[in-house]
Amino acid sequence: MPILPMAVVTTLGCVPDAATPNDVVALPLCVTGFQPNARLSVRLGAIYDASSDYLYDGSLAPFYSTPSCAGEDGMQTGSIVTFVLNGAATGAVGDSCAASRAHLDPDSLMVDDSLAGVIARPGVSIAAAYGNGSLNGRPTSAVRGLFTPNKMPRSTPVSRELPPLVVIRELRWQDPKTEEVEACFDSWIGSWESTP
Amino acid sequence: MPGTFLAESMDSSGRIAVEDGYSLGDTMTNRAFQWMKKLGHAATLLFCAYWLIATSAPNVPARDCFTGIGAKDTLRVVLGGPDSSQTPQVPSCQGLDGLVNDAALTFTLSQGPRSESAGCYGYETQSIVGTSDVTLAAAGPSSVWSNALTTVDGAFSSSRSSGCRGTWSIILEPDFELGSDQKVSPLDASSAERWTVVRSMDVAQAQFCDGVFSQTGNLQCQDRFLVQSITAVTP
Repeated sequence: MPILPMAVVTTLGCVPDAATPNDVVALPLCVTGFQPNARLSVRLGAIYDASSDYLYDGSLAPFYSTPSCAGEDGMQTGSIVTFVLNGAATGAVGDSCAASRAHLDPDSLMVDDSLAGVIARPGVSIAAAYGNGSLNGRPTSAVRGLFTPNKMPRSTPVSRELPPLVVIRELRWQDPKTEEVEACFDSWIGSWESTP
Repeated sequence: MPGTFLAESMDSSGRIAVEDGYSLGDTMTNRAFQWMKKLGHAATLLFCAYWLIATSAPNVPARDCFTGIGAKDTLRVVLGGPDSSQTPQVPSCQGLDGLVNDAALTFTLSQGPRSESAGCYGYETQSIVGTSDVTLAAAGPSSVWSNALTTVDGAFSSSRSSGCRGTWSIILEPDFELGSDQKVSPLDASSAERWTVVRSMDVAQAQFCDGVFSQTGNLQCQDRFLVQSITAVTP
């Protein structure tokens, strides 16, 4: 096989494929039963991980290892987050559904609906709020997701079973020195502040 | 794909591009280039597949390492104590699945098609009697490089402790290097001709195993048993 054409083809194949807005499509909501503009206020409880009292669904976490964000955006056990749904459900081509787009109220970051990425699973993914802005002096992107792993968001949590409500948050920023993207992640057992 | 937010790059305004197929501020400017890249991706994949096959796939049939048993056979394996010659790297599984000293496992084995590999022509395990709360995965050939008589994967889910579950695997193999032309009979297993059973588990949430483990969360455990004896079971 000629080396030069092979090298060209190989190099082209290694160029990362740029994502395009065209790849985002309207999809049915993964979880129905909430009003399109509902305000979903959730209190963050215990950390939800493999050491949790509840059956852990690791697919809600990044597949790569990330440290805790240690509450640097204010989200930590005991705090209350409010997802305000906007009724839109857009996601990746190939997904069967999408979490409802939402924004947090309040939120120190700007809503950014061009972002995407929360896992979309029928019956599980309730809402996703994406944000961009400056956090602790560095440009940061954030995704905040609301899930119902047991597919019954209004049920009572039962030890050793999938929980009814989980909140996840991932922050990403670029290290100014190495230019590498860094991330942190946390997930919590959630409980409704008021039943929606 | 599991995960939530797969960033690939960040532009000057700090917006992050994710790589799972959508998002982010970028716009497609050159459709032809995109198609070229897709062709490039496909060509690269084909080339990589060719390369892997051409350079790493052994082209010799798996060799015969085992004698004394038929192409289909049922073996009763009595476990002995732990192999003290090797320092455990992970904790013991504490007999969660019934594998303890003096336990007897009955393997139903069959040889499938001979694969091309640098290892032994092993056996597929159709079933194992003697374990607790283990469901075997579909039988498959032994690992390409393995000298094992048989290896099999499965899943463990405790019937006593809700939520205590994980992946499970077992290997039955001679505990010595086999010469290139050497054949051994599992029926000769003894203290002089050592065989081992290595069973590994990946427990998803160890705290649900009700005091078996001191740590919480995901835990890998393993036991390496010396085999007391292997005998053929008459159907």
